[in-house]
Amino acid sequence: MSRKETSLLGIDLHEGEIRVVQLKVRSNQSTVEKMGRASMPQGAINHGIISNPELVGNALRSLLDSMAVTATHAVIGLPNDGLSVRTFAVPPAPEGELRMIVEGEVNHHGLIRGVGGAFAFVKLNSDLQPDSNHAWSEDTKIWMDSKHGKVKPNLVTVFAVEQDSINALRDAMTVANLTIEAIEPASYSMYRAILNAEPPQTTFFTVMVSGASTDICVVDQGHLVAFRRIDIGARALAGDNLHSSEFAFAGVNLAAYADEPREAGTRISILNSSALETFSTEVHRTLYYYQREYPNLAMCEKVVLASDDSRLDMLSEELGKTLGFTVDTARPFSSLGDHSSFESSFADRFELVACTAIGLGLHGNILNRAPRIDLFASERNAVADIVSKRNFRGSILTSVMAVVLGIAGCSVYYSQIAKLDADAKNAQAQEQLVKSAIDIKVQERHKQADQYRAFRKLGIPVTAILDSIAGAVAPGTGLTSVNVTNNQAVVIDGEAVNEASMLNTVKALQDCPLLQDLRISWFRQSTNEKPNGPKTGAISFEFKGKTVTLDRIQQGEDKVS
Amino acid sequence: MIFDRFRILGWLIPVACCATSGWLVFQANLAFRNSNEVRNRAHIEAQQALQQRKLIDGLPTERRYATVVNSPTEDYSFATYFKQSAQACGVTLSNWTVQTTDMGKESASAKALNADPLMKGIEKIDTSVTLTGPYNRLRSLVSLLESSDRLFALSNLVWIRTPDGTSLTMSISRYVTPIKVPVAPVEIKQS
Repeated sequence: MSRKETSLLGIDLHEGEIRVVQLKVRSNQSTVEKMGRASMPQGAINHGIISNPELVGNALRSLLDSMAVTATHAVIGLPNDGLSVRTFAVPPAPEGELRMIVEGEVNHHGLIRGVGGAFAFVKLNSDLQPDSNHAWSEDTKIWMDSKHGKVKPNLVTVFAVEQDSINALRDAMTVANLTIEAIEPASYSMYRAILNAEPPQTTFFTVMVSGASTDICVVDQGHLVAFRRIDIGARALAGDNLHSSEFAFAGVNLAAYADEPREAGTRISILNSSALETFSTEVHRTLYYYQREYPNLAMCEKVVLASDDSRLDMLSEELGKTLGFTVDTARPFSSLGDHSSFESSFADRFELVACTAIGLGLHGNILNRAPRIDLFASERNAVADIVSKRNFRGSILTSVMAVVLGIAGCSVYYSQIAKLDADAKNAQAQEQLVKSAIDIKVQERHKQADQYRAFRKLGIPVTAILDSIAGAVAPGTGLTSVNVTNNQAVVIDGEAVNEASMLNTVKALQDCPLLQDLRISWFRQSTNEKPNGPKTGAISFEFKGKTVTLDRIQQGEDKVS
Repeated sequence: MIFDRFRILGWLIPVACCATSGWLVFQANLAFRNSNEVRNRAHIEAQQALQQRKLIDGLPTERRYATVVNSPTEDYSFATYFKQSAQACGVTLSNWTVQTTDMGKESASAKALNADPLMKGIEKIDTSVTLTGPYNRLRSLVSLLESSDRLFALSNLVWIRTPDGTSLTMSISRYVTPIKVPVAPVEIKQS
């Protein structure tokens, strides 16, 4: 059975350095494959917003090449400086409609000032409700209603960012030749890394220090209950007032500072004492506030501190002293698989500032306990929508072309068919003409032949009759006349020396096929001789019969048909 | 999987259009082939008809015929032909009588003979001749008349032996068709 393996890059673009972690997810267990860091080029980031995406992209590409990274999909952390965070109470609504309601709140409160922009939100655990009318979101009527038990509102923490920040990140990733899997707020990624490192069902506070601000999360039995930002961060705590763009210029090299070998007990705090006092007070007030607001909150077990600035490695100790209880430093590697292949000193130092990058890398693990949010989703969806519509237009164009080609093809075919039909009709008409001419000619010939046969019926075969009669005359017999009338009646007169001769002649004439029904009409013996008449004792006779018409004689022959 | 109507329509519409266009073009192709076949068959049949006509045109005309077109010289021609034939056969022509019957007219003799529509409108010219001479020569002349390409119907035969030889009287019928005179167009004057 094959198991799906995916590698995802978590990229934290800190104002002082770039931190990259490549996590491999195998059987839903994340393992660090590669990790690395490099200084952020001077002028690349200004006020938490990438001002020169090309510089960032090139630096990131160089770092990835030096790490021999092969993964192409990355989750990018959005620095807190360019991010607005606010928690709202919204009316109860189905999950599918919640985003629309939150969008209305974002627009109403003007969290995004420019054109475009993006927001994402996490739903807080609504089983616990604050028990005070001093809540930070009491400006909504729904919150007041919830206090009286009328409704049970949804609490959402919204992260909003201007479009410029998204564009800059996108451009930088384009230069680095990476595909954006998601863009998450850096502090939220830090929270995910901490949450995954803690056992389930744990109740604790997280204090996540960034450059200009600190985010505090309340986690009740593994569920995020509250998210609050206070406006004091690493720069104030470290005692410098330099802005991010001035880090490298001022010679503050975070990577070098972090790599500097320092043993336990020999470390010297560089924290600004007044800033630390303010910070501790703010944190203490916040923790107290939440404990008061959530009386049903389980017993808080600990405070976990995380920072993306390596100079604050002693902050947990100092904060613990001020607050009066133990503050643990976040150890995000504890939730990951074996990372013994890395140099231990490098891994230990990197772990202190790698919460954001690891949290970003954990975005790809479906079992991570913090819900995924993506500030690039709307951009991606918009791009996908544009691509989809462009593809649709291409499809329509293809369809139109197919229809046009079909119509053109049919037109060409049918014009050719019309020509062929006309040609066929001409040929058929010509054939009919020729056949008519043939028929006329044949009829003429038949008529001529029929006419010839018809007129032959009107004549008698004279030659054949003469031959037949002349041939039938027996010796001792002579004919005096032969008369053939118009109705084929034959009368033969003659003389014979005796009866036998006459009878022989009759017999021969009766055998003649041209003569039919030949009978002796009369005969008599001559008693006295007359001049030019028959001699005494001779027999005169007359035969009568019928002959045939000329058409009974075959043409060219004298045979009766 | 997200339901994207643009994606689905983007596939369905081109596929439907391509399929419809392809089907129409295929049908047009079938019709074109059919028309081409019909045309080829028509051409072949026309060629066959032309060949048949050539064949019929090439046939020799009927040697024997019953009628000729009447002409003013018809009697003269026949008399010349008969006289020359008789002379050639050594037969003496002693009597020559001509009688014409229009087969299309309602005369009694014509009615009797005009039953056949093939004879309608044809004139019958009867010539009664009396010939004298030896039997053999008379027979030769009669045989010559009977074997002529033009039909001469012989009838009313009277064959008499005389002391000088043989006398043969018979009626020779020949047939002519009238000359067709073209009809002049009639002018209709309208008032």
